[in-house]
Amino acid sequence: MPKTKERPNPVLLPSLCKGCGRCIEACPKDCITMGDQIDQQSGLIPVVIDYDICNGCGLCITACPEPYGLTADGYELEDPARLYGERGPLATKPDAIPAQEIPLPKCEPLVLKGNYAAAVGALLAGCRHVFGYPITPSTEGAELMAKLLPDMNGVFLQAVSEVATVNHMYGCGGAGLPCMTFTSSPGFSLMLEGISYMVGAEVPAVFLNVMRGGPGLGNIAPEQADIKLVCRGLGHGNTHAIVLAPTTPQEMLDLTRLAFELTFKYRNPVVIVADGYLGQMTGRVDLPDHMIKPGLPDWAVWGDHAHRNNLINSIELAEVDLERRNENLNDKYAKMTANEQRANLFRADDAEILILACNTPARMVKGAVEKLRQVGIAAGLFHPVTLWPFPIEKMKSLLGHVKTVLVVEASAGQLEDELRLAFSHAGIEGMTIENLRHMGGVLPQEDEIVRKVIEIQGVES
Amino acid sequence: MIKKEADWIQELPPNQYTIEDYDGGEARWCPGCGDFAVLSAVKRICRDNQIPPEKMVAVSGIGCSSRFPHYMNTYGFHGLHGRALPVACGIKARRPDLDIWVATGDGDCCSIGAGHWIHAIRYNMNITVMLFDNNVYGLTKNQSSPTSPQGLVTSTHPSGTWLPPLNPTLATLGFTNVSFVAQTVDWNPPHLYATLNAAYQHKGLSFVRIMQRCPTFTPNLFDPIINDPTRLILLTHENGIEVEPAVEKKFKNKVVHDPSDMTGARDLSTLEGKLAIGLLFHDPNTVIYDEFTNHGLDMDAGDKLKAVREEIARFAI
Ligand SMILES: Cc1ncc(C[n+]2csc(CCOP(=O)(O)OP(=O)(O)O)c2C)c(N)n1
Ligand code: SF4
Ligand code: SF4
Repeated sequence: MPKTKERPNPVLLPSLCKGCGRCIEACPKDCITMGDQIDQQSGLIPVVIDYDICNGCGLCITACPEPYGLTADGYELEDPARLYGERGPLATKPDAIPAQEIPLPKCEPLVLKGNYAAAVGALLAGCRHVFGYPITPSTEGAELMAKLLPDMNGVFLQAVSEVATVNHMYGCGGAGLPCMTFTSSPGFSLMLEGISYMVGAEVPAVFLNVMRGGPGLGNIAPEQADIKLVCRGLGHGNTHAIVLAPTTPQEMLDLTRLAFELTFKYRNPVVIVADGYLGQMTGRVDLPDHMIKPGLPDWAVWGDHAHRNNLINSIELAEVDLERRNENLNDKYAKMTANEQRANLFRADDAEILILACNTPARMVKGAVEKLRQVGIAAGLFHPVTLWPFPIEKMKSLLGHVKTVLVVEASAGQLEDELRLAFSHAGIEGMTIENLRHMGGVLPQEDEIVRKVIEIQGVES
Repeated sequence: MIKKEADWIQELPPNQYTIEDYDGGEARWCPGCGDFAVLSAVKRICRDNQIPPEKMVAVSGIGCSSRFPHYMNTYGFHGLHGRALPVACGIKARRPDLDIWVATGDGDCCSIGAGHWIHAIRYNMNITVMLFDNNVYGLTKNQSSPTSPQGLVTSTHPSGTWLPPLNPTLATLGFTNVSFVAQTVDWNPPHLYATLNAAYQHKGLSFVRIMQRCPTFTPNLFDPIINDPTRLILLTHENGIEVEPAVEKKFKNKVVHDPSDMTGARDLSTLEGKLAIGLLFHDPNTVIYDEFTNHGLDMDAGDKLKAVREEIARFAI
């Protein structure tokens, strides 16, 4: 049939296609599909044309916005081999290189500030890339890293802002490397957009937020008023991250190490929340018996031939694809919820009054519990090591003997909200919840907690 | 009210503002901090121009220098780190009657606020911007700033900074629609006064980089220039910034520079080992953004209601 003969055949040099897909939508015969191979020259994914179905209508040629994209037949096709040289072998699927444990000699305990302890923990977890923007009361961590990393084949890079910081981390984590930042509340606020992208793109990184008084500039004293943000508000979209809440310099070190393990295990950012007091407080710290030599995940955009096919991104234009991506994230969140709930208990086994607290307030509570036990009051401490996922299973196991949960926190009820939400999801009703709160940088004091518990006991008995 | 000596000599008529009228909270910078000199120069300019305190807004970001609004008894806006300029532009956009003075640090303006800086220069609203350039982060205690000289030892660069410093004057000269760029130093109060006063008189955004000593973290940074008077070059010109003849005489090194000469301005902003102070660039004929954003301020409620009704009528079916 001469008619179809006259029609132009669309011709496309794959390395000049941007993969925008406009031709796919334009084609009435559905003969153009999105390819599944990254073009080695352009790094993009070009479309594929099925000439058996194509009737040469030419609509795709009109639709293609690229000046060197689709053209009519008759276009002199240059031999790509002549233009660019022989085509290299296609990238193969890279092997994941696992992390290794390297034994450490036994050493004397150290006396470290909380921020330094977290930095040492990161170094022992194999972190050699630290990005940050100075902000009190977190800066010591970055300053120690700036001193140590150049001697350890690593780098501390002072970013121009927290927005730059989180994007440096997006890149570094995307390369499959363990990285972290030290920041404090206003700085953490600025990182949220980037964190949302990192959750979407499944990029690991550790964020230490040494919380200070807010809202706004507030002050540099300890507060816990970012709990809502880290548990419920990590930027836009369907985001969650494991949130760890240390109480001592030792835990600053241990939980920072754990954070690196978890961030790679789940390919998801991990947030550690401390408070300004804990960051500055010195304490005895024992080092672990091994350190980590990081491996290299197979998904990393590492910059060599083997990882050439990898792509880090959070965009998903088709609604169904984005829904699927969200479902995958939800599966991951469900796994975290099932496997990573952690809590430290102190005299909680028979407690009638269970005091919920984390960070520095948990230390105050511990002292208070000891005093209360001396006067015969069955108080106990429940310290959620993971604020998200909330350790509700541990909590449930105690509820047989607990009459009241007292939430002690340096915020206007953000920790209590996490408890109430966990209770609600678990279908636990009727538990008496009391609270002792401070804000603005004031910490709950031991005596105050003791008085509060005695007051509650008095009302109950 | 007991007046300062300088005020008695002037024999002010009654109901005139005096320096005390601009005194805010007691300034708590470190002893010897260059910020004090700027504060006192600004208060004198306010008095000399008889700016009603309620017609002035001191706007700042975060940093030692950004404490500025607390120390002025005018309207004040102590904003977010890096965001002094957008806050200032926001105010000026709809309040052309207010005099806006911005205090921003080298970290505040040139690091975290750098994006806003470029656009504020292009907006060219009628505001006075004072860049307190102490080459370091003061408030957070001794981290590198983009203007830190190469090799400066700070707590985030313990073996010295790696990069050559960003030159805020040169950068500003390169931004589109720039209209007024000057440099001065905190340790020459008459020149500081004359420069800020000229900046205040300019219509459009005036950008003044003030070399500011931080005795706490970078105590000797400006010593080479302070100790060798030939290194401080006074820019003179009939269209430039005028200082008293007695002050001018003190300068061993003077250069006549026409502030309409952009190429000369760029050269003078990049002198090796020397510092040129005075007016580097002035273009009185640039586009001023707030002249566009201020439209309609004279409308009364009736006018506005009429406009809304007309607009809504377009959606009627
Ligand atoms: C979002 C955010 N990040 C970091 C900080 C901490 N911070 C306060 S002031 C400052 C830099 C101060 O340096 P500069 O602007 O040069 O002013 P100076 O103190 O030297 O006058 C920083 C990093 C903050 N307040 N907010
Ligand atoms: S329209 Fe052009 S650039 Fe876009 S996918 Fe089709 S051929 Fe490629
Ligand atoms: S730290 Fe430096 S800039 Fe800040 S108040 Fe003290 S001397 Fe001034």
